[in-house]
Amino acid sequence: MAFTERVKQRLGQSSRNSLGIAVGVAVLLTAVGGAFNRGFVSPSNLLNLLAISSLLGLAAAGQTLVVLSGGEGIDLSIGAVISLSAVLTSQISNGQNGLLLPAVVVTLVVGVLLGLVNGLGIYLAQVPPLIMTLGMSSVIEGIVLVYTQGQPKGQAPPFLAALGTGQVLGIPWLIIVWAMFTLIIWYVLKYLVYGRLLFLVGDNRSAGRMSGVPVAKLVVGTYALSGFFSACTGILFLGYTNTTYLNIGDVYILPSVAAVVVGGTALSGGRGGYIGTVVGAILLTVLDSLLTTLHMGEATRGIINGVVLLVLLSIYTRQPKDA
Amino acid sequence: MLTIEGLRKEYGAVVALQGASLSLVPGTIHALLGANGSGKSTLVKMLGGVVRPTEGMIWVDEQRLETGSPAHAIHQGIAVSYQETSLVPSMSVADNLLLGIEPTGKAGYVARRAIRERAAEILDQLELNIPPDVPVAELPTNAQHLLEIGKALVKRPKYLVLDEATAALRREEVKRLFSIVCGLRDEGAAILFVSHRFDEVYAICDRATVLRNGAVVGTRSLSKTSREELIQDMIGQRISLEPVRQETGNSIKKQSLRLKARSLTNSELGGVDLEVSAGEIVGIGGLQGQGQTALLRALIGAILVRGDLETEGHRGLFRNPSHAAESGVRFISGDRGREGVFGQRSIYENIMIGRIATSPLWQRAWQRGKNRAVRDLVEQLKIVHHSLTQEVRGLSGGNQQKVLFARTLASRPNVVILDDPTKGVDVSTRMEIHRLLRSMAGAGVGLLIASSDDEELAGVCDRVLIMYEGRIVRELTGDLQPSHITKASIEGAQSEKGKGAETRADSL
Repeated sequence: MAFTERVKQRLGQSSRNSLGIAVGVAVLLTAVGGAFNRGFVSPSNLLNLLAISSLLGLAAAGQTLVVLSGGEGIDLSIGAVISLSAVLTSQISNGQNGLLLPAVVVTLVVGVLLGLVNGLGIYLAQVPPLIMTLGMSSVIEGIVLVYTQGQPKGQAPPFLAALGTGQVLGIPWLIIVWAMFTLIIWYVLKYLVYGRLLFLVGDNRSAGRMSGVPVAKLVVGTYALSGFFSACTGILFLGYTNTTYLNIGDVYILPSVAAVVVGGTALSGGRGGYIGTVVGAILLTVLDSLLTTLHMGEATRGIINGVVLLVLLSIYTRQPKDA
Repeated sequence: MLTIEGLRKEYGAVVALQGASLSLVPGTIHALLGANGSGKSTLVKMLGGVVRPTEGMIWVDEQRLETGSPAHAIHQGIAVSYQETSLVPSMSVADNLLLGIEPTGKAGYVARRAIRERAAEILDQLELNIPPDVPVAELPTNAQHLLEIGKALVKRPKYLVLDEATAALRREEVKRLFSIVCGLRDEGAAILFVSHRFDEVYAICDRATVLRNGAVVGTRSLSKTSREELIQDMIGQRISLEPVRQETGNSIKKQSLRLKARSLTNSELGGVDLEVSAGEIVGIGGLQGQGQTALLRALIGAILVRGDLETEGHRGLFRNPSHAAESGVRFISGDRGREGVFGQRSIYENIMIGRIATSPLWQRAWQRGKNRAVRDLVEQLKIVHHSLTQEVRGLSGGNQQKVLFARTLASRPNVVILDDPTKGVDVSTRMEIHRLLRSMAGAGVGLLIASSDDEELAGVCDRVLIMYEGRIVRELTGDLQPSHITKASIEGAQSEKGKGAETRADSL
């Protein structure tokens, strides 16, 4: 009796446990990298890894919220919104600092609106999130193609480029921006009504509705927030790469989901958090970088990436389906 | 002949059926009567092999029926049309009709054409004008119930069980069903007809068995039995285990109206008026499925309804449950797992949501002192737990229900609407909940409680409204007795049907 109680209690903390595992694996991978190549653990390389992680981490921020909101929530339009945002900012600003502000405002508004459309389609029209955001994704990619006529023009204004590649006191700006975002998201999830309700509604949407939670506002708003974070990612990505090309965001679609899951957030919603996603994003970036360092071919990298993910997830999910 | 011997079913400590016996004679139609919770549906499910009895046997033509096996029941010639229907919504009409008895070809593959032909034949017999290829989910409710009956008929049963089969049907459909059933009887089948409509029972049945509290009261020949005798059998003399109600709410009663609804109407409600005052507990009784659930949901805006609503500081129907909550109208669902608790979240969060559900989303959720308030509620309601951060799904049903009450109390409601508040909780928790309801009323909250348990309604309510087919047909006040409520529920069914049903009985 006492034993089963203790087991249940331990399993109740499984989301915390999976966070611990993810941190452990990330440290282990870094150590392995260091063993093969001392340069891998040099401060500059570690900071560089973090800076690269920050873009994935930001892309996965919206994904985290959407997955937490439950109802099989997922946002596959993240990649397309990132691509569109980079293109929009670059074309509108045309490389001039003076036009950066309007460019950013327009980009953010468009990102939020696209997320809003996702949310409305999912909540009001009852389209499954997977289908809705996938469809949205191809619509946006089509728009990008028409808007740029296949040839994106312009480049990042100097200010944005500095933000994307510059450093302050040796620390890349990207990391600082990401840290700020992380702090805000952590605070919102932990202390604001929105965050607390997100976990509850994610766990049981019908119960949320019957307890008086404005579920429609909450869920639709969450998809809009995902659009917002994708737009932010696109803008920063432009700063990081300086110029843009078509479909640059595609590489983030599945890794954003992977980062969320590796970070211990349940795909069924209601459990997890953004700190886990941060660790997940770092872990995935370190793994990818390590495999590159080891001069592995594209195919081998893909295989090992997949195996690591599967092993991690099979450890996480070793918990009872129902209590 | 089909004989049931001493069937007993226990669900944990609850005895649903305590040793029921009856026999179905070929060439007759046998009625099974009883109030809510008397064990009718349990008996029916045992015949269909869906529920395995704790004790007892079923004999079919001298052969023992293997209990708990739907396949064996079908093999023995027993077919059941269930009250809640047993159709697969995504499958086609034809596939549903022949589910489990699909005709097979030589190599064992399913003969698609034979299925369609056989299905078309039975649809024809039922005079159902629906194409066999349509998914069941797209059919209207009455067509689904007809299909459920068709699914039983297609098995050409020797023993046909119809559980409240007529409840969802239109008059001409009932007539058609009866002619089919009588035809089957004349061919030598035995039919068990479960219903609460006396007119129908008298129109086609030969004998009737009455169940009360899970036991058989007796089997009577209908030609020698009056309705009053049957009703008396169904009600009996019940001993109340409830303590005498304390009139705590009376002092502030009639001071102010907390909730006033006028002519609520939708597909399930036929114009309901009701009022709940501060400090008053209003019960909603009646036989099961008479629109009680729809009424509660209509009041909080969870389903579409026409009509008018008035609460303190608000006029008009609520758009959704959140809108209702903003006006202090809270709901505790009878479906605790699906619509009540957040199983994977902590006790603390489950209670706290009562306070923050309608707060602006960007506001700070936790403030000092709220912690204390949650702890006080948990202690006040004696919720058994080892930590406030413990997941709610680890609690017992009774404690989960208390968490829902704590949540509701935390929200400081004006009106609380409850659906079956003591469903699946043990006796002592039930008493605690009843005391809690009284003390909420004592504090000026208006309560509206739907319950299928007449003892509960009598024990806890100031007045009880009896529903029948989507309308309130009686109001009981004063000294409430469980038997009065039960009687009114059954009679409500009668008086309401009265005129129309007589002409129907004639035409059969």
